[in-house]
Amino acid sequence: MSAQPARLSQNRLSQGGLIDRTQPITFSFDGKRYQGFAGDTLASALLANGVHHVARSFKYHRPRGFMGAGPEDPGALVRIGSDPATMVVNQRATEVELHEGLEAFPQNCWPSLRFDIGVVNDLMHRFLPAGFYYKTFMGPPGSWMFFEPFIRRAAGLGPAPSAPDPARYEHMNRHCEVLVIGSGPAGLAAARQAARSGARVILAEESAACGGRIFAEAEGDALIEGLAPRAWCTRVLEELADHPDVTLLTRTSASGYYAQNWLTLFENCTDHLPPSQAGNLPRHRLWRVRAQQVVLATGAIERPLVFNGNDRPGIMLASAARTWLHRYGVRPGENAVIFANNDDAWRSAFDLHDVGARIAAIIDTRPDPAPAHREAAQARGIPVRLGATIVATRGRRRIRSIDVAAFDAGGVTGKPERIACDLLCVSGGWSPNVALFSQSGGSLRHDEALASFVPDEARQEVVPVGACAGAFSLEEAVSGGREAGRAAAQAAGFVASATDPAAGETRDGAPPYRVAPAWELPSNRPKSRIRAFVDHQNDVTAKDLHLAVREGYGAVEHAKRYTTTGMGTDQGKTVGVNAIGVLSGVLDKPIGEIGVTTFRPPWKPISFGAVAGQHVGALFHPRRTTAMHDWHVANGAVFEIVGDWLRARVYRQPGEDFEAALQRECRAARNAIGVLDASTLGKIDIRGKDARVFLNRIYSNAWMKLEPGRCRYGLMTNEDGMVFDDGVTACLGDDHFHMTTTTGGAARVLAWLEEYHQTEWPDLEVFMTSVTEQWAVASICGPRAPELAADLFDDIDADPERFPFMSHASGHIDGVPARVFRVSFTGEISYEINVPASYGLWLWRTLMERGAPYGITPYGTEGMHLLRAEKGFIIVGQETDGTLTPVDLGMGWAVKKNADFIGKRSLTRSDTARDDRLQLVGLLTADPAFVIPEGSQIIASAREQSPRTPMIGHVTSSYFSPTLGRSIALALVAGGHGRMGERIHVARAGADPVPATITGTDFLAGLKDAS
Amino acid sequence: MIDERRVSPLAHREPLHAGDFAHLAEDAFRGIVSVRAAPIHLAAPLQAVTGRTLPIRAGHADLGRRCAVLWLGPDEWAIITAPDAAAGIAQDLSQALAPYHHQVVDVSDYNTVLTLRGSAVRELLAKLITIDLHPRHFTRSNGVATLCGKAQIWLICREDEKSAREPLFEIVVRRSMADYLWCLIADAGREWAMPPQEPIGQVPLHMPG
Repeated sequence: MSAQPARLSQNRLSQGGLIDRTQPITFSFDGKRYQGFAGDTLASALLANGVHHVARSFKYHRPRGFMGAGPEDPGALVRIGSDPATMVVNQRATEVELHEGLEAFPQNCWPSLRFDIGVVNDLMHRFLPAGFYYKTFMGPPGSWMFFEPFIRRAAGLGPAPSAPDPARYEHMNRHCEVLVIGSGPAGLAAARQAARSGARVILAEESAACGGRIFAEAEGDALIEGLAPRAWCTRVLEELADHPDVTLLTRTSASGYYAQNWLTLFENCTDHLPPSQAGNLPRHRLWRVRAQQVVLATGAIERPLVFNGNDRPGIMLASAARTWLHRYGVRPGENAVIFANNDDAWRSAFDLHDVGARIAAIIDTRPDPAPAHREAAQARGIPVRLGATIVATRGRRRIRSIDVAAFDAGGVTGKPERIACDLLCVSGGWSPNVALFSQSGGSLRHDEALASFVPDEARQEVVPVGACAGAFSLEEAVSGGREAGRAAAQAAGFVASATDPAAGETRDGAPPYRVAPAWELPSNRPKSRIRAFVDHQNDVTAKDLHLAVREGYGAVEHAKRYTTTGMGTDQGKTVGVNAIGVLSGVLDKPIGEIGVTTFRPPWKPISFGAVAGQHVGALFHPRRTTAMHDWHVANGAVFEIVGDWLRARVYRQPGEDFEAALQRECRAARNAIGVLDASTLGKIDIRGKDARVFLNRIYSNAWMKLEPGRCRYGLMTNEDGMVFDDGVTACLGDDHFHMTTTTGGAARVLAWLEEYHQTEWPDLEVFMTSVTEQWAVASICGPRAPELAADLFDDIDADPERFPFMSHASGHIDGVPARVFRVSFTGEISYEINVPASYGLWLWRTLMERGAPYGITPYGTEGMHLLRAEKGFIIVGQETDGTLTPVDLGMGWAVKKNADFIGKRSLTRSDTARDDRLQLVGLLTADPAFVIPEGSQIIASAREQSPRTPMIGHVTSSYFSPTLGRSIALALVAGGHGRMGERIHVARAGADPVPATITGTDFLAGLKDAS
Repeated sequence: MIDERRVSPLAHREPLHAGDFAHLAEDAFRGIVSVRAAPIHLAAPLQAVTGRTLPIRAGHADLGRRCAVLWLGPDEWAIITAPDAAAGIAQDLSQALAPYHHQVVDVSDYNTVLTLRGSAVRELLAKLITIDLHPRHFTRSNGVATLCGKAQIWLICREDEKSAREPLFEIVVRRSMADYLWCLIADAGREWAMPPQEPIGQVPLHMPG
């Protein structure tokens, strides 16, 4: 080794672990600089520096250290970074990988981690009982309003970043035959066996390195297939790397297990790197995997014990202590006590002892631990207390001492003895990590011998193996994994090789696991003084669970919500089973009858960014553009979004405001020529010998007699008889039609036609194909439009006499094929010119050039809305809202009497036939300069009255009409068709109602009459 | 010869390269014809007009150098052909199908074609498309209608004349969404240093209300 090892911090072992002592890394926590090594997590590096107290708890602000060494840790949540955009909060220090320049901060404390004002909550804990939050809802009126700000400020996790996240995120969609979650001995064996069959295998490992507890335990004399476990792990990984169809994902946790074996895997791609090394990778990826077979090798999670004073920094899971030792080369304490109800935890005493720590005592709640362990303890000179419990602990920011006493079913029996220590390793036994199995729909069963819930019946193609299945020995894990991998590949159609006969022996290095449950341990202290935490993240004590039962919330799902046990970012990873155990004690029911709360995705918090993937910002949703888009942009258009399309709303000239531009555009359309980009209208080619019959059933008006060459306006109603789309359809031939729809309704209408054809009338010979974007459309209108049209077409006689309204013709413009429709949405003479879309921009430019002498002016959708409102034409979605019949809209002429169509029966229902329905009318305000705000309510009286004036309708469209030189409005008024000339009033916010007169909807007709 | 008055949906874009991993380009003005008919009526005329065999299985296509036929449904196919060949094919096919119920529509201008080449294309597309793109399940002579991000597309995998090892992927997309898709694919290619692209739809809005 060329590089010199850096100076080791106080608790760092000189060798061992997955850290690189030649690569020191400087980082800071709470403003102080520390050193760690490549391969460290923030937690292991802090422990190496002797830092145990890193956080404050959610509710009582009690000091929190590291209970676990991985994703199961409930309390050591930190904030990473301080940039308002890139900082991340609520990160588990046990999972944050160290990189150069990492800056971490404590959260939920003020003014500092050491002196935290919020700790008054702890002194007040008797007044903040379980369900406090809910009780404020119930209590005296206003009490929630009173307490909410305090609760929000005092209780909590980290604050959200305040600036937009600049990071990139991605999805990755994958299909595979076998997905293996977890890369401990069982997962590795399963993945390898499946890979040998040639099946596609994805192996997801939550941490930075594969191997699971292989790297967290002393090797001792354990063997896997004849090899030392770590050598075996290396060999399996080498073999997996040689299979091209194996995808090995580290730093990837399976976050959700959904129906049809669809899982999400959350991959951290760059959080472990300094920003300068992140390159072009996204920050996180969400893998969306469809797996034919899933093997769950998610291991088990150790539980703490529930005893008085069990939540001080320096109290940690026995397995976590071994992880610090073996995976990170960190000795978490100098003077340790081990407190357990099972044989497994004794290994922590021996392993700590073997690296030079003093073991002050092993305390076991059982009278009968494994004899081999007793001998090993004796050989090391470790004092052992059996049938004993811890009744109290001391030490504010790090544990200082414990009081231990004998106990039996009646409570504490002996006189407590005080033992000094700086580390307390606890173990309440192991719980198989069944979260994903449960998410998959599989049922759980309580195993008395293991004192935990284990997978029972699977509902999907999933097999739990190893510790996840409650098989805690190495032999069971490896053989179970091998078989599961083979069987999974085979079920997916891949012949897996039989188990390797040359494989050597697999054996554990420790006595078999035995446990005697001890859910709630007694103390000799007065009841009111006992604080035995069940949930270390949400500050739930055993006493809170007792209270929940007393107040009627004893069912497990109720107790969870009443006390908040197992909620928050932690979701009760370590403590879920303890809570159930405590409940079983209080209710005096077997634990299996209590049941478990639902495991829900995600397994642990994932970033919103990963869920959104690439689909944010400019890529959030397509903004559809027409062929003329560039011209609009270059000519001052401001846009609105209609049915995902960007449509030019008005074209503002220099110095012009929106309203001025609108008035100018509309005057041009009435006095010279206006041109509109109408490309976005939906267009459907309809063909077949029954096309006409089909249209006649779809539209409310009559279609049997429309001749080729002619066009007709049509209304579509749904089954309820309500208008849902409209448009002009042209007859191209007896069996061939060109339908147009509203811009936003294009996809909906095509789906509607297909559905009716396929499900109701499959006997009709008709095909429909969308041609919306095949054609770019420029609609010219205005009194001088015929002059321009006469110049334009090579082979169409544009004279309105010979090319009459509501007809169409095909021809050419400078040799470019064009379909021209003589239809009008403005009341002016119009030519709707369709050309193949690639000619759209050329057509537009040609029109602007040749139309210039006639004063051609482009108008946007706002002008179109105004012009058609002057003419009294409806816009579906503006005048209509799905509750209006053709008759309500004054379009009874579009309802045929003699043939059936969709919605016909509904039009004769008593409700649709009543004459006081909301009906479309025109409104003219008494003050011609006043433009009514759209959406205004219409009332019958000039003043608000008591009882309140009835609302009789509302305004749907309202403009200042340049043609009439006054304001106009369209409105829906109850019984409006029978109230012509009546005076109504339009309510205004904070001002007197405005009088207006009901008129017909065609304001231009009124103008003509007047002249 | 393409009429120079025509503008393709991605005329404002230049081909994008990301090493040997991915190349993105527009293959503009390809002829595209939508055909609806009963397969029993279509097979022979299709053979006669285009020389292609009618694919009748989901996810399959008959891909020739000049002309490709893609299965889109039990009575729906797309013919993708050379620029300016679509009108002729549409006319001939429509004529041959005259005795039968059918619909032949030239949709060349409706769509454009994006081409993707390179060693990382499957991985790139997997970020945006949910179908199984593994070579065992999607390879030369496969084609599907699916979603890429939020755009409807037809995805075709075919022999690449420029590469023996990697196939060519063609994406047929409606013109109004071509720029969105272009930028989305470029973003998916960031991992291999494909240059970022700004969508043209990022314009000032003036929304009602």
